[in-house]
Amino acid sequence: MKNYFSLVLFTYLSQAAIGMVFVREFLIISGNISRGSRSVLNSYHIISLLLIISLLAAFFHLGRPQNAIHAVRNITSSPLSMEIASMSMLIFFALLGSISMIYSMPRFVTTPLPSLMVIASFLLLVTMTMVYLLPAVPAWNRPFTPLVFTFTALSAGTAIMSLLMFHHDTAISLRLIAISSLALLIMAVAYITRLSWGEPRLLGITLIISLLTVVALTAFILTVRSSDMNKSFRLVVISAVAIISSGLIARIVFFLSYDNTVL
Amino acid sequence: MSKLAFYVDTTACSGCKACQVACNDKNDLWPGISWRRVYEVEVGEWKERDGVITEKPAGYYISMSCNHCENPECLKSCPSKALFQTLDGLVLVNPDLCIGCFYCEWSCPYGALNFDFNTGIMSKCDACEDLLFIGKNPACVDACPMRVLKFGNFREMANEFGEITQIFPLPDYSMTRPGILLKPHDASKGAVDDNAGVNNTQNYRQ
Repeated sequence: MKNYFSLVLFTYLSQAAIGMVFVREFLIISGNISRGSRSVLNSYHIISLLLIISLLAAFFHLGRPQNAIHAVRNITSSPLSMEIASMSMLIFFALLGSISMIYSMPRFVTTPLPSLMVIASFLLLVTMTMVYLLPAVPAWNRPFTPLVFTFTALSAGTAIMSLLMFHHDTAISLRLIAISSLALLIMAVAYITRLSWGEPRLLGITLIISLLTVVALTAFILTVRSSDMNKSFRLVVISAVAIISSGLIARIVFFLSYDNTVL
Repeated sequence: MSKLAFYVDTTACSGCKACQVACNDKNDLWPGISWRRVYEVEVGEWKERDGVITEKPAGYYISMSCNHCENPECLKSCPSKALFQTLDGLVLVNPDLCIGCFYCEWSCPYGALNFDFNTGIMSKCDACEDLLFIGKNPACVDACPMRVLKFGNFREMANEFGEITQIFPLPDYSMTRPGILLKPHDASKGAVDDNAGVNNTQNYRQ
């Protein structure tokens, strides 16, 4: 398969952004952080940045990017069209959110933004999953795909939010990195289970994912035990880097498992 | 809409790939692009009895291109509606709309679509539409030295040759309702994933 690195980048980064939206809104609704806090402000910018990078990756993945304007013509039947429309909506709301953090905007614009971002994120996650549930690609057309996409959003989103929140709210940051590590652990188990009975040729790479999962969990445990803030932050960074690296490697495995097995 | 179809006699195909060469030549296809492909299917099993291994290998070839399906997955999945169906049921690519996203390639269970790195868009068999227009056969049909391939109206050919539309390893007919009729090779009877496989799919993976 061609150009799958751009697809790895596109799917992983956009799922990380989706996860960040969900985690941020959950933390706000549950009263753990306020909507005006520094972490929330920064999260808008990071989400916009992640989405723009993933959009560029998707754009340059196309063989003829100049025709990209036609990509939503088949929105009623093509999951890819639906995904592109959801992505465009999310980017629009995320950029609007970023701008509203810098310049003041009317309340009728800013008030519905978080809800709209959650809806667009959910739609993007669903349509992105639909894109890969193809009967012609048995390797992807199984419950493994929605499971992995959901847990990637959860693990990457919480890891990045944890980094953003460490200096403002260390306790929540540590809880987030714990959730992220556990989500990654579930993903690693899913990959090993699937590959061990389906595609042993990818088992080596899957073991790397498992190793990075262990690194992430170890770093997290050391963080909890550490009383030195600087050391703790370094350990959270190590944990987050391990989580993101293993997520990216797992996504490469996902695309490598593409096998139009019939012909 | 009259459905057009290819008829493939797998009992006669010698796997010479003249159809593939004729297609590549007629359509000026670059190396790495094959609108028509000849799959080598190997079937067989072995048994061990009293320390003696006995085996029963067999093989056959399937010449395969786009089957211009009645219910094409590629057409449904194409985000830009670059793929369209003519009144004759041929599935064609509109190069002005194609964005080169590869999604049709993923969606097609026959692996019929090819990405053309020179043009940046998808390319596929057009059943030699220009030759059909002047009453001739597609290039692959006329190039076959064994007269394995035929092209024509699905119903008429089904009446003449029988309506077998699926043999190993082709996907279930109901998935896309392809325009293909087959005369199955004896070795294909009883061929399943456990005892058979395509030997040369990697030759055609871009």
